[in-house]
Amino acid sequence: MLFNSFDFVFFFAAVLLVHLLPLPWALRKFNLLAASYLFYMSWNPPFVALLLFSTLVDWFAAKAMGRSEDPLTRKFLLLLSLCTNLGILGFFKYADTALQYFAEAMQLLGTTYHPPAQQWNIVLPLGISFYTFQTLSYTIDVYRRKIEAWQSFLDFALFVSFFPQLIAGPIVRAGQFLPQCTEPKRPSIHQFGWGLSLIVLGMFLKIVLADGLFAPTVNEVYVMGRPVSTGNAWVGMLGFVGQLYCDFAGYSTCAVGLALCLGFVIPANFRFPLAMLSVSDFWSRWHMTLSRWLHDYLFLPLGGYRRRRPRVAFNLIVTMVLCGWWHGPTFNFLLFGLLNGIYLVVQLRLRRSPVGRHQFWKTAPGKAVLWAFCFNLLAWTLVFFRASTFEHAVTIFQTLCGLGPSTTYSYLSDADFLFVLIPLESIVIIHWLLRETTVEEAISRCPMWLWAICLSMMLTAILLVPGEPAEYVYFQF
Amino acid sequence: MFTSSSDAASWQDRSPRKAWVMGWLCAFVLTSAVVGGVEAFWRIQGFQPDVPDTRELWSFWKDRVNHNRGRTIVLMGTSRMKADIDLQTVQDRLPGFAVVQLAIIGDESPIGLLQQFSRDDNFHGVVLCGVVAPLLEPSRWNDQRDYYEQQLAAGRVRDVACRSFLQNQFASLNPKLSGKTLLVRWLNSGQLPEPDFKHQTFRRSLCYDFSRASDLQSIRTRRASQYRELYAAANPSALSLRNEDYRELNEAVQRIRSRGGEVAFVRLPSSGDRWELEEERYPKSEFWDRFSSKVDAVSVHFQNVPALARFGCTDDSHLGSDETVAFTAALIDELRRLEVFAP
Repeated sequence: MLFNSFDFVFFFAAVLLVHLLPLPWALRKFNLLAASYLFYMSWNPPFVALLLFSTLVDWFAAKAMGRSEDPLTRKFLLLLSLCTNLGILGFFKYADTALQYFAEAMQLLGTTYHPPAQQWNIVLPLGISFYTFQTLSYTIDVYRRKIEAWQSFLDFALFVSFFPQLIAGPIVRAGQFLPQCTEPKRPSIHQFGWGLSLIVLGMFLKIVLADGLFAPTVNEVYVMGRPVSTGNAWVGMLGFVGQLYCDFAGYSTCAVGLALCLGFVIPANFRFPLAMLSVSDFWSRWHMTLSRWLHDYLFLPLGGYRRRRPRVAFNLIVTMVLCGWWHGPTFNFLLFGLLNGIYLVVQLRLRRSPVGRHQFWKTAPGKAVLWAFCFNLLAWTLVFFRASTFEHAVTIFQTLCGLGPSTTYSYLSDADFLFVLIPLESIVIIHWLLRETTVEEAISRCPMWLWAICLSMMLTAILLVPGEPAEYVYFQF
Repeated sequence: MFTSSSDAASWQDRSPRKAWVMGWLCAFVLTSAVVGGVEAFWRIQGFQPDVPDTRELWSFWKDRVNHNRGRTIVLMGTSRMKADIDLQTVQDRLPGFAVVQLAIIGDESPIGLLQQFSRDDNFHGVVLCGVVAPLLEPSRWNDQRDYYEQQLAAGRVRDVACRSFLQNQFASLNPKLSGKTLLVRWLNSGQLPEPDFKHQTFRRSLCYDFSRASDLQSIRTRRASQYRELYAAANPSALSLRNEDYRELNEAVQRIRSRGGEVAFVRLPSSGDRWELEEERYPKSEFWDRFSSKVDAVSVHFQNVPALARFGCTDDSHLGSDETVAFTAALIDELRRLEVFAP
């Protein structure tokens, strides 16, 4: 069930209705849990067993950790949780690629290896990357004694499967969600009003901007094997930045809004990332919950910044490579991660250098230069994200530089250029205006009548300017 | 580099404190006014609701074929079947029967779909199969395979069906009138679109209002020229159905009959240049008459039934929506006379 589907509208209305009834809190939590499992089953019913299995393993592992003071036992239980969760994730996400690489490695060694099938064609369970990270954060936090093992299985199962954020985040921490389960939750009028607003905003980003304006142009440019003009390639590249942001931020915004309508607060995932001033600034504003997860559970355990420079560089690169690899088992995603790791290392060096410490970068022109440079860096790197293969990405890069196979024929009309550049510029401007604040603070300062007009415009656009509905880009992860 | 989890304030509830009830009420009223205004504008311009003919919508209706305890009439064929048959008239004339329109626009044979229904043990309704001679060729039987063999997610089918239902109520939901399409058109030509003379309904009927067509003669000429080229590629001297093909077809008919259903092949009207072209390439006596003598099913050719032959096609190929009620009534009467519909 996509958020922007009629099925989901009816589903959510039914869940909300039951949630608002004067029933015992445990029953209402059970309603949310049942709804979450039903939501997940709507994609592929058998995979709900995986979700349940992962939940049970981590529940019992954390429970046992909570009862044990023996460091070895606790470590063993943590390893059990890690191996189980990462093993499942690894199998479903990377087994096909591993088999392929194994066959290629055998070939390099002069041995012909024929796998039992050309590919295992393993279906990737939806949301596995997200809920795996979420449950792992629980067991790791219990191991580190940041939180106590939770007493209510109902609460924990709901934490793992909560449908607003189950499929594509935000990745919620147990310490953020579980305490909210202790008190009966009904949305306040402010939560409900704001939650509905966020749902409309999220739908607008996804339906009107991502699917309606950006995606058709991007899809036209990224047809594999078809040369495009340099102008088309540039518009396609920029369009994908807009599409990816609007698609993913749209989903996350809806998720936060849906949770609020049920009285739950989950963290925001984006904070005006297209107004970045550096690569690290970008990653502190884009998919923030993943960035935080990687920081807390990967970067810091590797040593973080508390090491010599070569080791810090190593920590940064490993973290970002795994970040890229988390998105998908392809060379493109690996490169995406590696490049971002290198950018962060270079940035760290530059910041400590005289050039990096110059006052110019704090001025408006300096910030404009920083933004332009970082935005272009992001846009070029995201070509790996969108291109089907490494060779396709290389072809796009060549075309962007006016080299390689290209054509003067334009697959895009003047309107397509406008449909990308105007919304993208508008988003960048809005991000710049709001980069030091939050959406909530901005709306708090805005008169209600103005926000009502904005809501009305977004609703009208959703109704009258719909694009061809497409799955959310981050569902593939 | 990264934001640490100590940035816990990011997840605290910071919902803005505002007059949300009034705000949402205003937003709702404003949206309704704007959407209503846009709808009124397009209606005044002469636009009607028009539902895109999608595979999901076709799949939605196909899934409903077996819902009426077997008393379902399935219409299959091409655009003539979509345009010439008025579904409400069928239901009025045959109370107790549900009607499902599965015809597909284009020059594709529906015989493969008929065979699929014959293999469906749950189907025991009536099939009205609209065909012309070229579509009886065995090599064409699987033309519509992309439709009847497609596997679409049930959720997606339901979603498109819901959207189609809304598109059937509101002219402004016509994809041709979406904001983006209008903007492109305005940038290219500086003009608003003109209403089309045909539209499709939620139940997949095609409605032609030829009074809105600006240049019927050029439509006729263009279509005749298209089909002249199409027919020029084939040079049949006779229908190439072999005995095995007739046997296969008759077995399909028998399977449906054995379950209490029936099959009728219907040749719907064409006129003017189109009829002349079709008769020149596929003479009725060589093709249709031979087919109907060998197939073990009811067959109705419009030329053989005076009540049907009197209808002329304004664009040479389809009836206007002002004639479909009368035509459908006459066709149902003829099929009833031939005992196609079991009591």
